[in-house]
Amino acid sequence: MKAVRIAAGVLALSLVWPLAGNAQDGEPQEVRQQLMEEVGDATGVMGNMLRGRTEYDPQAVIEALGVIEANAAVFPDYFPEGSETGFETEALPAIWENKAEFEERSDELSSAAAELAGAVPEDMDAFAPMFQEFSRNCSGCHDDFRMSDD
Amino acid sequence: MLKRILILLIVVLSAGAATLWAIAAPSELPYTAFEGLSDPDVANGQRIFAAGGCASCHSLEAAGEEGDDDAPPTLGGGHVISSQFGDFRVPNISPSDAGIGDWTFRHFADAMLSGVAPDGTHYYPAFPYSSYALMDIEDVNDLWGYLRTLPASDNMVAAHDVPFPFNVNRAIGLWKYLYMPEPNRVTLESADPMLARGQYLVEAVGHCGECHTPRDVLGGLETDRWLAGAPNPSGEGRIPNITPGGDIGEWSVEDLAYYFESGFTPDFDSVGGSMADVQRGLAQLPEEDRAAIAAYLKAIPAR
Repeated sequence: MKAVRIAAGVLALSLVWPLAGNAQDGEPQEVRQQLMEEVGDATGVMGNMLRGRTEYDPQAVIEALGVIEANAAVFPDYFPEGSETGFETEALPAIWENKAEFEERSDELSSAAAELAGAVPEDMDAFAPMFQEFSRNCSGCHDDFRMSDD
Repeated sequence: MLKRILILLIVVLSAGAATLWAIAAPSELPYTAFEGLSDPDVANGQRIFAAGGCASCHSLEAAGEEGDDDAPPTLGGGHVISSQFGDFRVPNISPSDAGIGDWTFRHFADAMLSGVAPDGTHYYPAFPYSSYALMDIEDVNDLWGYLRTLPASDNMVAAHDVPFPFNVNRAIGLWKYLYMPEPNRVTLESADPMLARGQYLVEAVGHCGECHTPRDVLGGLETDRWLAGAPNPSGEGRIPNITPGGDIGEWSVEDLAYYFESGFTPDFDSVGGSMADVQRGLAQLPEEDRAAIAAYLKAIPAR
């Protein structure tokens, strides 16, 4: 069983590693967009299980949360002065006006992901409300710091 | 002869002006509108409150104060809506002396359905009564009952900052004459009650068109481009086109309903901007209401 877990971990790392590698190059706007893409994909892994589109898999949930924990921890590093515009950025000026709050919120997301990863239940019905609570971190921050799209 | 033409002209012009003046008069609801109303159903009032997203403008959190998402909202007002016509300060509508504590239901119904204040003046349409005018008075009654249960706030909100000529109150009456809606914004082919419910929630209570439909130079909704997207009044980005011809044209009814419930798009981007508050309200609705809104959005003309 332990071997399976290690294998799964290695597999997860090999999937994430190249993306993370690419993300370090490029302009900060591109890097942060890539980081957030990955957060969206990881969220989708969990969300699609809850929508009944894929089978609930606690191990895959833990891996997805690992991506969010890692990306959210470094996300605010990619908002240097001078990167306020360009590359179709949807970052609002509020990020630079309230940098401390922005960084704190991203840290909170990272720790919330770590905490949830340590408490993922075997049963999807038990996970659903936990995911709902966790996902408040997304809109809570997008509300203040990201342009409403299209 | 010339003198007579001049007199005639003056008569015609003043008759026209008098007619316009009369058209622009604030008119309250007739007494008959209140017949047969029973005690408010507070639970339904709360549902209407969530669908209308009242808290997203009127709560103290909207004005930037810290608050608890799980506690009943305190509707102390103070949020500023900036527009090309001036800055509108959202009023305190909590049950206190600084709010609407001394109102009767008649005052509230006239405000919601006619856009008329207790002192008989017009409200600015920044308060979206041109959508609420489509609401059933029973729901307004229930909403009133729910509002009375919410915490009081002593927050005093300053007056609107609206320059001439937009501060001429009577002129708002002409605006109402031009833009207060016919019974519905769009005509649907089907008489499906679920679609009708969705239409009611979107066009009346939810007042979605106020942001998602473009406006003409006088600030009236361009109903032939209903829900086709518009510049964001905050100046950042655009409010999306939510007709089948827009970005969400490929979303299924289930995708839409899931977005309203969870705040996630089909590719798990999350809701942002002012829609985040709206979605928090939609998440509190019964599932059938979210499904009805989704069905309506799939049924309206693509723009």
